[in-house]
Amino acid sequence: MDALRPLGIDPALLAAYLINFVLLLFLLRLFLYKPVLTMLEERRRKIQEALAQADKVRQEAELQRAEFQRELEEARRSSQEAANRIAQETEKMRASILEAAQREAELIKAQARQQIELERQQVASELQRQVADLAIEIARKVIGQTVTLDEKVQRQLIRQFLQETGNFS
Amino acid sequence: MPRKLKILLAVLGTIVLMVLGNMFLRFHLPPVTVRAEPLPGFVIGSVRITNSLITALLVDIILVVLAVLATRRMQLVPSGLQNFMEFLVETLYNLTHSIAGSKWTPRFFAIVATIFFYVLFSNWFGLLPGLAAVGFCESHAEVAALHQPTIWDRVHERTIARLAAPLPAKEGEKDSHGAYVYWGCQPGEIIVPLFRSPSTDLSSNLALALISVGMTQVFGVMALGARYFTKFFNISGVLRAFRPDASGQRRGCAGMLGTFLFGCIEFFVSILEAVTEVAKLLSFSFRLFGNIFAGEVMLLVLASLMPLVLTLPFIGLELFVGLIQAFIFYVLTLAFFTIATVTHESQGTHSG
Repeated sequence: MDALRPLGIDPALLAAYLINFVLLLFLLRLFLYKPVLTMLEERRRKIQEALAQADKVRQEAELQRAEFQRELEEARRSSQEAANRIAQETEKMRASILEAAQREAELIKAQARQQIELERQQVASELQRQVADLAIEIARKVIGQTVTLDEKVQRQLIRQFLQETGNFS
Repeated sequence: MPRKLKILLAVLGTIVLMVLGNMFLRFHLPPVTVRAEPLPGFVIGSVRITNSLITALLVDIILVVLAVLATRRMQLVPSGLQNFMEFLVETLYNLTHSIAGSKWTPRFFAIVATIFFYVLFSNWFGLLPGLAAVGFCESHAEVAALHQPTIWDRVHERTIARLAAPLPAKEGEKDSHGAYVYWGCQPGEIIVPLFRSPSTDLSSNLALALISVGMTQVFGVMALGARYFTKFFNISGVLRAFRPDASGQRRGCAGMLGTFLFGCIEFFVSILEAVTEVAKLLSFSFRLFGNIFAGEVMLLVLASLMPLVLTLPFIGLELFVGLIQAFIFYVLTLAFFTIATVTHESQGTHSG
């Protein structure tokens, strides 16, 4: 060791430096490495958490957006459906109303026709009666004498004649 | 002001500074010693405290104070010193992690990081301007007696003292001992600097090297158990020659001889490994010492040749060298630690 002394290597100083280093090691560990590394780890964890949180929120928002989209779609579809249904119903109603009106018109027409028929028949029978009267009158005039025949029989004869020559009705 | 004028002024100012420095700030190169100088009055028991030990303590204090200031009020959102120290520690930690891996980094980190910071601050502390001029005046004879001139002292007297000798001795005449008189000191006295970078003290460097190499063995044993030491005394190859080979058959005469020779080579290599371990102590301590000591002496010599301006670029260079040397010490220690924790069978040799 004495040979090293000129180089400045001294066992006592060497020991002093060793102790010095170990001391420094512990102090720096206590005051620098441990707090800094703990802080770095904590910060890493926090950032990771925040990122995960943000991711989750984003996912949730995405989900919510999809939900809204779906609901909107649904609403649109249901309103469309309602509109369709209403249109259909309206159409149906229109058709039914139209039909009813037509039926009524038909009814009225039929009634009118019946009425007319009735009246025509009345007119016809009236006419027949008048024609018979007239015929008798004419015959009386032509023949110039009272038909010997009973009035009743005469009418019977005319009616027979009319029925044979044709019907007015 | 136009650019050209600025450059011209800068050049002129530099020249003026150089001239003024050479006129008024000349000094003589103080004795440069390989040993750290013991400080007068600093004695504990029989140990004379050296200026480098004092500086080492000062470096410790600076580091610890920085650490405490940086981590006193830790905040999640860092700023200022905390941010800077966190950046340093994190960078160093990531580098350590990339070399040593997840398993060993927590165990290595405190040691290698402390080595890095201690060496870095030691290296840079020695570059503080004027450090060599602050100290105690001690009689030259006493210092000489203390030093007991050795071959090293004679070498530096012949080389560095001669470098200093041609300077005109304006403010410092030679005294009766043939030494220069330094500013503030009596004739016959020289300055013993109060501070000296621990990196220029072989004791400090050897202590670091001992820590580095010693912990290498500790980590090796932690990783591999007693098997670690077969690295330094590997006779398994020699013994293999006398055992049946892999297929279970007895070896023939030629096979036995061949295996035996290979075993001998392996044994020799393992002895070399042991020698390497001791050589590491030397290379660690002398590399750091040589680089930093040479840098400081160069700065002193340059300053004694031309007090101002000339040293400026070299201080930058020495700052860089200081950083590089600290980094080398750190990386080599880390590499040796990492190598020690890996089995030498798994390094790709033919295992027995």
